[in-house]
Amino acid sequence: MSRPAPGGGSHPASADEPPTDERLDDGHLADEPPQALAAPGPSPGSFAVAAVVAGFALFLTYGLLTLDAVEAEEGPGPAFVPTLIVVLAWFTTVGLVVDAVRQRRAAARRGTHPAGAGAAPTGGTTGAPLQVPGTTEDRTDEGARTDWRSALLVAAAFATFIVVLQPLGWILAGTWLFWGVAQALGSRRRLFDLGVALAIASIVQLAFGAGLGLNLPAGVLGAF
Amino acid sequence: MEALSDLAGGFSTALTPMNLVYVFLGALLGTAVGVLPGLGSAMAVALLLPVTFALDPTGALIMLAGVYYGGLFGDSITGILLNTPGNSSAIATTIEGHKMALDGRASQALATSAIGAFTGGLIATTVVALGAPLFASLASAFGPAEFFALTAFAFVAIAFVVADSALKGLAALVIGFTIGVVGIDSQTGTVRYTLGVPQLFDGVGIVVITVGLLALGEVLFVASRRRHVGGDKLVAVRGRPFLSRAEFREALPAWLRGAGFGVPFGVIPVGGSEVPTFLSYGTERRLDARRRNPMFGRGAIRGVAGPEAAGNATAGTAMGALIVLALPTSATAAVLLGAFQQFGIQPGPLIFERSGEVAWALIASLFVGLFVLLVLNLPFAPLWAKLLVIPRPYLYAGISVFAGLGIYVSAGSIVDLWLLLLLGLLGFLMRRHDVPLAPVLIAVILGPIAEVNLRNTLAISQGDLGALAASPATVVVYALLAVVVLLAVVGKIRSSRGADV
Repeated sequence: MSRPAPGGGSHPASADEPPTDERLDDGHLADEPPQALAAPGPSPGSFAVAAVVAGFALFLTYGLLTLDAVEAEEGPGPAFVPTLIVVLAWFTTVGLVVDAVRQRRAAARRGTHPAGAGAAPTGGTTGAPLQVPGTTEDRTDEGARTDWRSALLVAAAFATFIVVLQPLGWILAGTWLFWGVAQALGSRRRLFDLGVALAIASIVQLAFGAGLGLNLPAGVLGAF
Repeated sequence: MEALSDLAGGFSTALTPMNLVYVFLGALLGTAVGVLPGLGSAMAVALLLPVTFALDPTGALIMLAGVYYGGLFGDSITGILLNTPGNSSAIATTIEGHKMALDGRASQALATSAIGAFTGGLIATTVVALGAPLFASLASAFGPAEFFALTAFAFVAIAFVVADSALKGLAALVIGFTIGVVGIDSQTGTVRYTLGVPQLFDGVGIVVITVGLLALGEVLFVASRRRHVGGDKLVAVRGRPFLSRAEFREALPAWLRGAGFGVPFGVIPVGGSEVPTFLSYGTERRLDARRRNPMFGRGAIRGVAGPEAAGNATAGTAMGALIVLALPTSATAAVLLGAFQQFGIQPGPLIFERSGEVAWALIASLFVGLFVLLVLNLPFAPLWAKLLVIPRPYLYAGISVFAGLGIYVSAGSIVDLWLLLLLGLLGFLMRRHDVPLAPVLIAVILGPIAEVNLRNTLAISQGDLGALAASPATVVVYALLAVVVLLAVVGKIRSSRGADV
């Protein structure tokens, strides 16, 4: 239940998915041994952004190579602007990698790497994020840890919602989504939350389904 | 003046009972969203977009505009009382505002900010109402080269100014361009980047993109750092927000100067009101230091008045740039442009001819909205702060439910929901790494427009690149762009030097 995204290639943006997934999983693993002073945001010199842009660049390159262009009658054809974007994408990827390497070197010079915890960026562009405690230039708050578990739970709750929406109907799926996200965010009054969730989902059904006439799936409850 | 009679016509549309209800609802929602930290008006507009499809375009746009303005009214309430700005646009206000609150002058700070937001918005909206038709007639001579110059200006300015590093801004642009290029090419019918998925032939829906990046991404981001969320300590407000005559006189010049900063910045695509609010804050601070009894640092009323007026003035003229030039200058404006397009209204120089009634009703409703917001905010600001008692898990659970609802009802497509989740993860990652979201939205929405204009320019000139900068208007735009980039680079070098020392 730790994969937040749907598997397989049925969905279109899969070109950028692997880095996203790997990043989340790696971060989750790196998170296992609790570190009191772990940096809240990404460590300096994280390759994550570079990996995402590289994913987009690959997607663009693949799309451009397989483009079945209908030529324009005059002026540049449909491949013209995508070509410009591909160049920009790879240029940005290289820039981000260079930037990340430079930040890592600077961090290493300051001696902030925990011993053995990953002074060696082995994973290439999709390398695991380094948990560097303390000195981060990040503007987000200091002294807190990234809670990968909660984020993954939210994503999982949403994925489940998508799967059950049509078979079970809006009220049950919506109740699940509200309840699941509330739990993932640390609400602990489980039964009370369930009541709130059911109430919200029902109000939405009434206001938007019956009131505004939007089409919400009835699912199993529609049989009654 | 023809503009005045058109505006009067707009008022007659905006003041119908139903449209008044929409303005009121929008103002209410916008203020609520502004008060709650982490929820921006961009997210609110994105979340509302799908359900407004059930309304008529005028009513829907009026409501969305109310949300847009309302967000800027509400954001300073939390900043002043809690020291947690509801939005980045309220950071500058918070600095002195919270000190005023700690000093026992919370009600004065709230009043100063509400009147400041009103003044800034009013001045800017007046500028828009009187200047828009003039601008539109100037811009009606614009051809593809000029429009391409404007979009190029938006891309470069937003990438260089908004991000803390230009590389991150570029990364955001690349992501936006890529998403924007998916779908059938409008000029030749070529299918591009769909990976054979038929649901993508029309491209990725703008609603899916904005809700995914802004709403779901935010929920995931909040989840990832929930353990850090500390207890909130509200400063109690004594009495109703009010200003004495002396305080009013003290704040007035700052309101006007703030509006002066905000008005031009609404037209420059630097991602919203952060830059002008801080410019205003800095100016007030420098002026204050020269006075006999400097107040900055101890809760200066001008430190609240200036930035607040600047913020709303920016929002006001940004609306003008959006209507007349179809040029979004912030993330919220980008989402609003998407909303216009969804309703089949194409903003641009011709909007007053093609959709004059809607455009004037919208401008008139901005005025109406300002008055509604003043009434909602001035006496009731302490009440709004009560919204903060909603438990955070419920708040974000509600946002998730609304995101799922909106995306499903807008197309009834499960594929869209999966896309939404993917984009949410992308938005989460970008937040985590401080990659700005505004350039993505601007690139997604303006990217295809830029492409059409670029290709048309080159088609007309038969491939001659010189045509891109041949007319005086394009030269002016590119020259302005050079100035903006130069200023941004100089500013960055200066601040990095300051950090080194």
